[in-house]
Amino acid sequence: MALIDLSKKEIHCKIVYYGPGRCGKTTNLLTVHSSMADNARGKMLTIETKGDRTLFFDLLPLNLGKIRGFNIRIQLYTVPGQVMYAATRKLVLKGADGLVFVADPLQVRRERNIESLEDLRTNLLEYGLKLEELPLVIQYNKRDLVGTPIPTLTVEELDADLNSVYKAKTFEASAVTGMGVFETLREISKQTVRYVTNKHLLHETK
Amino acid sequence: MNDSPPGRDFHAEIDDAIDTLFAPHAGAGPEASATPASDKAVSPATVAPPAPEKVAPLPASLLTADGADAFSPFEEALLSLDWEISPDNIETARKALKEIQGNFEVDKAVALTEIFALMDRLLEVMAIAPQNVSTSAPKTLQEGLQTLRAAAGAEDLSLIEQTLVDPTLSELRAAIPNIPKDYSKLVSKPQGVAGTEQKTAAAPPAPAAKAAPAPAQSASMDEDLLPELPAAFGASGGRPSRVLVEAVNAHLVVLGKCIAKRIIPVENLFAKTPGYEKLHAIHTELRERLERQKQNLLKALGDDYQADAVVPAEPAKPAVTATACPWPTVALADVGGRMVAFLPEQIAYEDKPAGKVRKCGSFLPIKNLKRGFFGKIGFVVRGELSFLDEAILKTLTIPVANLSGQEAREPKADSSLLVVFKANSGMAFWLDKPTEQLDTSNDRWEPLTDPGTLVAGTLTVQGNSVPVITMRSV
Ligand SMILES: Nc1nc2c(ncn2[C@@H]2O[C@H](COP(=O)(O)OP(=O)(O)OP(=O)(O)O)[C@@H](O)[C@H]2O)c(=O)[nH]1
Ligand SMILES: [Mg+2]
Repeated sequence: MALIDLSKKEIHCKIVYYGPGRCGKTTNLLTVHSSMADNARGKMLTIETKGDRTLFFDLLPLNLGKIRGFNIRIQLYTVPGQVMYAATRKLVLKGADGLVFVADPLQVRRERNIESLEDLRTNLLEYGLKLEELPLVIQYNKRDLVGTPIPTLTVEELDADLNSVYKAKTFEASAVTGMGVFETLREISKQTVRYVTNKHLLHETK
Repeated sequence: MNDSPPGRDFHAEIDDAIDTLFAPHAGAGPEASATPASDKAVSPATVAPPAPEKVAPLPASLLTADGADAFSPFEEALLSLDWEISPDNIETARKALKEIQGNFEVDKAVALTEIFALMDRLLEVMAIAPQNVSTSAPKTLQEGLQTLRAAAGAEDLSLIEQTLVDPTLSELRAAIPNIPKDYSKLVSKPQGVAGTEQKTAAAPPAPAAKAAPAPAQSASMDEDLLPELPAAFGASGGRPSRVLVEAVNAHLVVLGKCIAKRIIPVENLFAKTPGYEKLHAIHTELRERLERQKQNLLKALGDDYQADAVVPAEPAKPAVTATACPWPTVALADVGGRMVAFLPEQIAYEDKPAGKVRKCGSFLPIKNLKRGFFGKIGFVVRGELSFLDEAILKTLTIPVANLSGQEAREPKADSSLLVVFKANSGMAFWLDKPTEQLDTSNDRWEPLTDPGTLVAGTLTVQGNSVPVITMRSV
C-alpha cells in the first residue's frame, strides 16, 4: 500500500512484477539492481529463493530523491510465478500501487500468460481492486529469443492475448540483456507515483 | 488516472526525477533503446540456437513406427518441468519414463533398473515436496535421460558403466532428498491452485494409531519395475525350482488376503470419510499396485499356480521378551485421559499457545505458533522443525491427533500443545498437562513392529501400558 507520511514527507509506492513462472520477473529486478548506483537503490532482498525460482518474493527498494520536500521511494516486488504458490502470490500483491505484467513469449507458455493475467485480475478483485483502474505496464520479455529456433509469439499475438482489454503500454524487453527493462520501469514508476500522489496528496502540494 | 491540474507541476517534477534516475540505464543492453513494443519490430537474436545433440543410433524398439524416438515425450516433459514443477507435468514425465523403460531390451532395462527407479523417485519427490528438491532436479533428470539414450545405443553397457551410468547414479542419489515415500498420491489430485501450495509443502501423516500412511511403504517404487523381470524368472531356460513355486504360491495367498481383508476395508472406510480423500487415494494406489503385482506373479507362475497353496505357518511370535526400551528417556504425557509417551528428540514444540491455536480443529498450521506480529516461527519450534526455512514453516500444516476418535473438540483452556516432527512428518497433540521425563531403564518394553501405526511399542509404567508414539522415518 502506498504509504504517505506527511509529517516525514515520505511517499512509498509498491510496484509488483507479476507473470507466469520463469517469465523473467526476478531477472528484471536483478538487472535494475545491478545497473543502478548504490545511493539510488537499497539492498535487493530475495526472500527464500530456491535456486532461481522465487518461492516468496523479491524486493528492491529504489529512492527517487526529494521532490518538493517529499522523499519518494519505490519498492519493486516480484511474485513467485509458479502456479502452486498462489497464496503467496496473492499476499505479495496486497497493497500494490502499480503492476508490471511480464509476459513470456515462448509459444509453449501462451496459455500460462493468459492464465497468469487472469489470476492477477481475480486476485486484485478479491482485494477490491480493478486491474483496469490501476497503473499497468505489460512487458513482452525474452525478445532476444525471437529469430532463434525456439518458437516465440509475435507482438501481435501477445497483444491480442493480453492487451486487447486493458490497452496498457507495452514494452519489448530482454531482461537478461537489459533491453527494455528500464523503459518498463520508467513508465510504470511515472504512472504509479502519479496515481499515488493523485489519490492521496493533491491538495497538500498545491 | 487523470492528471488533475493542481498536481501538474508536481507531476512534471516527478517525471523528471524518474527520467533522471532511470534514463541513463535505459538501453543498457546491446539492443540500444527499447521502444514501446507497439512501434517496434522484433529485436535481433542474441541467443544462439542450442546445438543439436549428438546421439548414438537407437535400436528399433526405441523408435516408433514413424521413426521418432521413444525418448522425445520424456524430453518434452522435462522441458515443461523446467518451466514449472506442477503435478501434471510430473505425471506426464513419469508416464513417459515408464514408456521408455517398457521399450528397452529386457536385459538392459534390468541393468538400468536403478537409474529408472531413481529418476522416477526424483519425480515423485518433486511432486511430494518440491520445496525440498533442488531446482537443478530437471537438469539431473536430463542427464539421466542422456545416459539412458547412450545406454540404448550402446552395444555393451559395461563400456559406459564407469563413464556414464555410475556418475548418473550418484547424481540422482544426491538429488533425492529424504522424504517419506508414501505421499505420492497427495499431489496427483490437484484440488485447485491454493490447495496444492499447502499440500505439497506439508505432507500430513495420518491421524495417530488409526491409519498411518505407512502401509504404502510396502509399495516400494521398485515394484512396478517387476514386469520386466518375469523374463528373468526362468531365465536359464529351465523351470523354476519347486521351492520357489511354492513360495510364490504361498505369497499369492497372503497377498490376496492382505488386499481383501486389510486394504479394501480401510480403503472403503476412507472413501466414506470426508477429509480422508488423500489417505483414500494412497490406499487405492497401494491396492492397485499390489493387484498388479499379483497379476504379474500369476502370469509368471502360469501352470504352476495353485489357488489353494498352503501358507507355511508363521513362526510363533516370540514370547514377549523384556528387552530394554531403545530410548533411555521418554516424555510422558496425558492425551485425552490416556497416558502416552513421546520421544524427546522428536518434540518440536511444547507450550501453551495463544487462544486462536486452540480453535485450529483437526489441522494445525505451524505458522499459528509464532508469537507476536514480528515473531518468527523458527524461534518457537525446536528439533528438526527448527532446521526448516521460515518460508517453508509458513506453509506447513500438520494434523492434530484425535486419540478418542470422537469429533474434534476445542481443547481445554489450560491444556498445552505438543508437536512432534521427524523427517517431514508431524503431528500435534493436546496434552492435559505438560510432559514429564521418564527414565525407561526399569520399565518393561514391548516393541511393536506394525508399521501401520505410530506406536513403536509399549512401556509398562507402574502397571499401566503406555504406548510410545514416534513419527517414524520411513
Ligand atoms: N533468453 C532469455 N531468458 C530470460 C530472459 N529473462 C529471464 N530469462 C531466463 O528465464 C529464467 C527464469 O527467469 P526468472 O527471472 O528467474 O523468472 P521468474 O519470473 O522470476 O520466475 P519465478 O520466480 O519462478 O516466478 C532464467 O533462466 C532467466 O535467465 C530474457 O529476457 N531472455
Ligand atoms: Mg522469480
